[in-house]
Amino acid sequence: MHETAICANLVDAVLGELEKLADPKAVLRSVKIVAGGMHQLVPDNMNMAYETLTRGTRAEGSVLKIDWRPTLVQCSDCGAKSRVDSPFFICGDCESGNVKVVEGKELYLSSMEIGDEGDER
Amino acid sequence: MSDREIKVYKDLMGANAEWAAKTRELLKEKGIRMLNLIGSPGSGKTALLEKTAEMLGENRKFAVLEGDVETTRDAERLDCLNVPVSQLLTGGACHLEAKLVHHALIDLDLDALDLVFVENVGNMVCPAEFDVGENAKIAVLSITEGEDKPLKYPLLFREAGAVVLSKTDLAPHLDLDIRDYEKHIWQVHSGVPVLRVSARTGEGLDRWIAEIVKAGQ
Repeated sequence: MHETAICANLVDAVLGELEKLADPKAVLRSVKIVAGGMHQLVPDNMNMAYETLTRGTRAEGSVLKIDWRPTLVQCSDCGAKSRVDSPFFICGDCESGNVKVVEGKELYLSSMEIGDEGDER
Repeated sequence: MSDREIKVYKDLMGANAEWAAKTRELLKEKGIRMLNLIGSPGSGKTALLEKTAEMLGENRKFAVLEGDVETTRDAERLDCLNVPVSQLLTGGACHLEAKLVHHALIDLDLDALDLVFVENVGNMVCPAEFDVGENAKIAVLSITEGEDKPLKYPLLFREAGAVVLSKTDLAPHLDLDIRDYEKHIWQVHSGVPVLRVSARTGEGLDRWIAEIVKAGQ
């Protein structure tokens, strides 16, 4: 359940950003995070942790949206970039195992959707 | 007013990364290497450290940061061998984070050490996710766990600087081929060194000791 620890960091970041908003009526509708495939996050665990950790805070009731990014490797032999869809970390072109992970380790809060108190969603 | 989107960029591992960087700087200044042992509960991490202490004898200059959810049992096992050990209890968390490791590290007599082992909480998923400032992660996989584990938990094996394949003395009693473990490890992380060891019979421990002595230099 590394999702809980990651969500705790997320909620801290979100509440910090909400503090900076000048408009006191602003309410948080949703937050979007970018998550690379290497993190093996389980969506249900993320949503449950987010809902639990936002309870009683200004972020309560907001929705967590996850922008999943695939794991990409670059081959050190042929130079091709390919997507890792199986557990095998091999080049999609020449099947060499001599590859480096170039994308898939991303994990950040990317945007927040803000509305006004009382407005219909 | 209608809903609006605010763009932000906040690394969700940022605070952990800062503590890990602080630890790395301290280790460099003191000339100490730190290895982070990660594997399932019961994979043989503590047994490997016990044997390491026995084999290095009086020459050893290492300490252990022992991560567990509960109990000080593993720390007691190492304390019996006069290894400096700090018990880190996570109280439920399934992995160690960099801040906790940093605070435990600064409590050690660092001038007397050249190597620190972090024995992470028994778990193949979460500890792999958290950089604690180590020089290398070492995956410990026992041959009783199934040869498909590297494929099921790729992050750990991808991140590992070396893999210890433990309990190899049990191979004759089990329906398996150790080469299948190596094949799967290398499918996830081509070329990563795999060390076959048995803490019980001593098989492969010479190579393990040679590797960690090299790591400590």
